[in-house]
Amino acid sequence: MKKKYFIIFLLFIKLNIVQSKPFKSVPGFRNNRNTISLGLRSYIPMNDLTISNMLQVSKEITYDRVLNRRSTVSFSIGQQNYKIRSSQTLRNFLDLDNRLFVNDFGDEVQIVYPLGEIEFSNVHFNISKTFFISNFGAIAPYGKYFKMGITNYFLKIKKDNMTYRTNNFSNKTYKNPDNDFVTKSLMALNFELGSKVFFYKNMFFNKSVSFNFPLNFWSEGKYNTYTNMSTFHETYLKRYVSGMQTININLALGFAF
Amino acid sequence: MNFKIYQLLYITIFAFVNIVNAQSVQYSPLRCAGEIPNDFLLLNFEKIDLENQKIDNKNQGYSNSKIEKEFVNKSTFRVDDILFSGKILYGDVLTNYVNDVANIVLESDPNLRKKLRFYVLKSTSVNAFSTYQGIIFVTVGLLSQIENEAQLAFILSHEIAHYKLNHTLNSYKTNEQLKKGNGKYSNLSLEKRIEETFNYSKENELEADKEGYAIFSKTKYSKQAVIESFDMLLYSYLAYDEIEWNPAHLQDSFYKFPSLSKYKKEGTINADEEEDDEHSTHPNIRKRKENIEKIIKEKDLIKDTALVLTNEKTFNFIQKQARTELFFILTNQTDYKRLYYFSYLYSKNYQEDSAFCKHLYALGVYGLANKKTNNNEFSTKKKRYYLSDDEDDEEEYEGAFNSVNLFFDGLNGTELSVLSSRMAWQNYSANLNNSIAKEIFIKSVYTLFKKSNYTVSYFETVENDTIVKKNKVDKSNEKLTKSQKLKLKQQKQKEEAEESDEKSTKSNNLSYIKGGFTFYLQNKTFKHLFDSIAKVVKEEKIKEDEDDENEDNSYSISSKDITKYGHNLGLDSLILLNPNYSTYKYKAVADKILVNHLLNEQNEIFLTETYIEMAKENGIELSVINMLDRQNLTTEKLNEYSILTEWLTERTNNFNNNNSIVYNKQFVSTLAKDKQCNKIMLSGVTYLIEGRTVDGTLIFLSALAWPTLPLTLTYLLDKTREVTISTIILDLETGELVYLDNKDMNFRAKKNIIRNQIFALFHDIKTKRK
Repeated sequence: MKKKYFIIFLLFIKLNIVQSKPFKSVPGFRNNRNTISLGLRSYIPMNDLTISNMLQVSKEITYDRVLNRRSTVSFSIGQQNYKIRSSQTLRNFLDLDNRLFVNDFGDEVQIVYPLGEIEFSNVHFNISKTFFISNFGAIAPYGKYFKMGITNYFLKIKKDNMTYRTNNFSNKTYKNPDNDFVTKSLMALNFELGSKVFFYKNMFFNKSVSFNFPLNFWSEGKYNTYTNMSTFHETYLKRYVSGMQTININLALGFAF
Repeated sequence: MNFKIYQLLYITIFAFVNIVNAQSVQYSPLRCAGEIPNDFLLLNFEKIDLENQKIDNKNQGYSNSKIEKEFVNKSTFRVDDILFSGKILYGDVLTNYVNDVANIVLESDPNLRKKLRFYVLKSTSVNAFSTYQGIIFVTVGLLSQIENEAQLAFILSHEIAHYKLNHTLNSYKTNEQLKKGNGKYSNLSLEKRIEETFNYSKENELEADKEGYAIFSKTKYSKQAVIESFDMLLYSYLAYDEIEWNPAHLQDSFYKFPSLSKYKKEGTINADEEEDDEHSTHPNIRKRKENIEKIIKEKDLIKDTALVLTNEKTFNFIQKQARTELFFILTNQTDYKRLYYFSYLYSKNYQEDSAFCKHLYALGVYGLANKKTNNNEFSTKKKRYYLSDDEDDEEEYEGAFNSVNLFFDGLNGTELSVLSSRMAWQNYSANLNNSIAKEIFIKSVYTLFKKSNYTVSYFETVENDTIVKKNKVDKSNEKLTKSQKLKLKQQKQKEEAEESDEKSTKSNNLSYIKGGFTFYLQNKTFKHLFDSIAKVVKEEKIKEDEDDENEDNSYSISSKDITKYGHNLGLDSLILLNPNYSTYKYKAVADKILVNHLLNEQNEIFLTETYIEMAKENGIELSVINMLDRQNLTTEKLNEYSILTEWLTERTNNFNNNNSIVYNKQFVSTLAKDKQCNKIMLSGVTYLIEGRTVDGTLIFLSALAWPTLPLTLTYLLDKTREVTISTIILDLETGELVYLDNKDMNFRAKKNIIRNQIFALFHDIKTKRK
């Protein structure tokens, strides 16, 4: 069994048995055991922290189902369009200035600095279990909670207008020749701390901070030489997103039914 | 023609007066009647606002008005606690009588009379006290002890004087100054300041005596009664009468106690007119007497001799009613020894009501038997006979009650249950409709067989038929008043103490209980009942033995244990008694707990609203006995409240006793029928806020790892918060605990969270387990 499936098994089967209290009825929020919320998730890119980057938020929709007094299971889908424009960001994107790749003529080329812009789409799915902290007065789906789950990011480059200036051929710029990009997948373990507060009837406001630990961080981040510009960008995109999604803030509005 | 009409009128009026005089005593707890007084109709914050406006109008400077407002705030809540304790009476015979006497006392000062309100407080202590608001409380204990109406009139005028001279406020002001050492007390040491507080209070008492006498002297009451009332107060901590007690009257020809002489030890009476009053708020009786004797003129002593101005019959009736009421207070307190002794006194004083007394005898003795068999009674420290906060280790009680105490201490559970079943049977055979007597009988026979190894055949064998000589009661004391009797007794005791100091030895011979039922076993119905109870117990014992054999030794918590006080009850209706919300702030520096009563009151209103709302959402019919809905408060609701609180206090006093008999349940069951609901819910929120203690090492460590310093500082400066939502549901008919839930949480008590918790609570109660 793969590692990540084992983790899913642990999350949803094993812990469920520990948490369940059969003698207490499940009230939900005033008998409403389902919630749907629409939220905005802002990433705090630890590798590239600027306000404009933080403002490129991900739109997210979450569904929660109450299992018992203390826990819910939740599913969410989110989408984000992300643009990288400034040269500094582009450098961050590539992590290091002086990277080598093999050019059309089969020579190794060293990049001095990148230019242009790159735009990618990030579609992410999350499946997680929420543990409401009864000591703080929470009863699922209300109050302070701790969430554990798995997020899968599907990353695809939409537009690639990046050019590179190299030192080998003076001021010669390299452009990505093809726009055929493959969707890349990135999985991360997700921990979230937050609270849901009902402010009017069944409407609630949800705020949370979450921490993500990518499962493929080390394997993808290794030094490589690339023969293809698009695989070069895709690989570095995964690496960039791995760093970017480490900490994120989520604000959402929802209702229980 | 005219003459005839007058004659008729005269006859009707005369007849009416006679009816009034011949009032019969009520043998159930007194309840409020008539229109509800204004004191009950306003919330505390409204009352405080009104008083604050009055203070502002005085224009007496900031500091003075600030202290007065503080005092008003505190005293309003204290008075409110008493008013809504469920122990207050108005519109009943006792309160009406107190009001009548007050009318006589204040006949010359109608303006002052209008400002005052008199209520009777259901308490055994002998006391009366006045408040800043003009409310004067008189206890049932006092009404049971006064020897004549004039004494009550003087005590009332003393309390009126306290109000007139504004003593409560003034003493608060000086106490505050003394505490802080301000003003003229700035040079005094702490010890002297404490001394001064007692002195000031004593001065106030003497002043109130003087002023009270000035009010009292305007009436035609006997002035001699003033001095007598001090004697009455001197012995007020004892029972309302002093009659020698002897267990001989509990015996019959087959059933007699082995050694009667050992129970004849009466306690020495320690009341002293000149007792040390250094640390007392009241001066001793000698000083008070001297203070008054200076003012009383000899002319007055001769001129006015009336001991009663209303009607002597009325006074006697009131005294009897008050003494009857004492029983119900004692049943609530589950003070069974006193209940027994008081009913003994009652039977001696009012021989026409012996049936009612015997009924209470049995209840008292059964209560003791049950307590002993459950081993609750004698593991705790014995309390001194009179009501006081400090617990003494002295085992000796004062007066005749000591022999009662010795007697019941000497008997064990089986002996007591034999005794109580005998008594209960006597009551039941006299009146077959007496359900409580039947219950006492059944339960005491049940405990007898259950806890001991005796069988029916043991009691059936007859022993030698000997007749017990009845002890002669010394009747020479009967005409004297209580205080005179006690004085005589004190002298006797001193003489006796010099002569001998012998101690009686205890005998463990229990064979005398064999004859306990010999006389009654000749009765067929008795034998039938007796046999059937024994049979039931026998079957139960066999079952228990079988269960013991089959039981697994392994210890495990089953889901049944957890749901013992069940979740998921499937209830549709509930009675909710006044939910409680209290916030406490603990200040570690001053070692003080601060309570914001005003905030608590507002929170309680919110809490009751949420209970109603959440119950409705869950489909539970909730009838709230809400003391905070003051605008819609009626006498009926107040009575319901007092019935329930009385039942609850008795029930909680018997909490660990499964076989106990809750006397008040008869009144509760009618209420349950009216409400069509037999489950009562008690619930409340307590919120404790406490500052964290500063940990030096933690700061040091975080200073080393400096980025964590702001985190640790915010952690230390923040406070710990504990919220507890506790709920109990009891069955009104059986008194059984049905639901118990206690949630301890740590969060800032936000209304939303509490609302959600209460929803979950009702959800639990409403849903039925499949």
